Amino acid sequence: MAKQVIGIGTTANDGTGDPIRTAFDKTNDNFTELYDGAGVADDSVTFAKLSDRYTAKVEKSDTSGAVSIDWSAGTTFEFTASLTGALELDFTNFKQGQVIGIYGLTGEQTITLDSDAATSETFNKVGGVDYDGTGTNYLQVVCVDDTADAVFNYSVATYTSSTTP
Amino acid sequence: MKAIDINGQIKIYNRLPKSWDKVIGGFNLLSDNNLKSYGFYPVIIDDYDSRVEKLGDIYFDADNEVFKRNKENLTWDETLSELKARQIEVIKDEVRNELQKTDWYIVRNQELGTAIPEDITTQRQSLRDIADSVESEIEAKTTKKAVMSFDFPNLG
Repeated sequence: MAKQVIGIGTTANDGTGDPIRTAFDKTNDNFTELYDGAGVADDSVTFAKLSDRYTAKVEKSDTSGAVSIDWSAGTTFEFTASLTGALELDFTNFKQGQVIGIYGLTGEQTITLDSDAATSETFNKVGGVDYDGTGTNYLQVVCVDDTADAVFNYSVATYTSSTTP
Repeated sequence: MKAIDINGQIKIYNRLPKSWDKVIGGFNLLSDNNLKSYGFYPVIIDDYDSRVEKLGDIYFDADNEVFKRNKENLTWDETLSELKARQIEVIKDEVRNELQKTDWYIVRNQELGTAIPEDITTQRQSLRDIADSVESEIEAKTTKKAVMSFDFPNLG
């Protein structure tokens, strides 16, 4: 159903607006549609309608130091240059269930994860692979708890371009 | 070599792990000072003579911020005389083994009358002299440690 707009006339009490009963009937119809879950039609949420945290790619040119990874700004983060010193990835604005991918990480340096969680953060490694700076690495992180004691699960591995995967 | 105390258990790492805690890679590249912030400290192990010493348990030396294993003196239940006998038997065994290598010259001489080469006779006497000399030196020792740390000659 298309949204029903209540006619309010041109000026107050000019007699051109909807009668009170008609107006509230339209109101009820609009609310009924919302409560029935029809407010968002099937397939109506397009990629473009999603916020950056689900769609955007963020480029990072940092090669060392503390680097903010704002989970609200993107879902994919590309490091565009080889690391020259120790790197700390500081996670902010993360949401439970959100997954981000960080790629282009290369360079034999120390990489540390951190966050702005109020109390603490735990990073659980999935699998047994460590960051290998001799190659180019892909780091995938999922936030499984975005409370004050935040929890993240991550996995990291090197990747290469392959035309015959 | 580094070590860390985890809930009262000291774990020694000959090679540091690449990841630790929030470090997902390159943990082994951290400086000693940075490693200390994670609880990893150098391990100092005394050089020791295994004949008369052993290494004690590892512990944390807070003053010097290192894990240490100090050498400790071995003790023996045997008496001084018994230890001397044990060490003398060692040299006698070695000399006996060396003599056996040329015993066939003696057997041939006994059976066939073939002359024993002079250098063989000299060598066998030299071995016996060494055994006698070592036995005298060991008998002259007055402490168990001196007996057990005796440096045997190389007969080979």
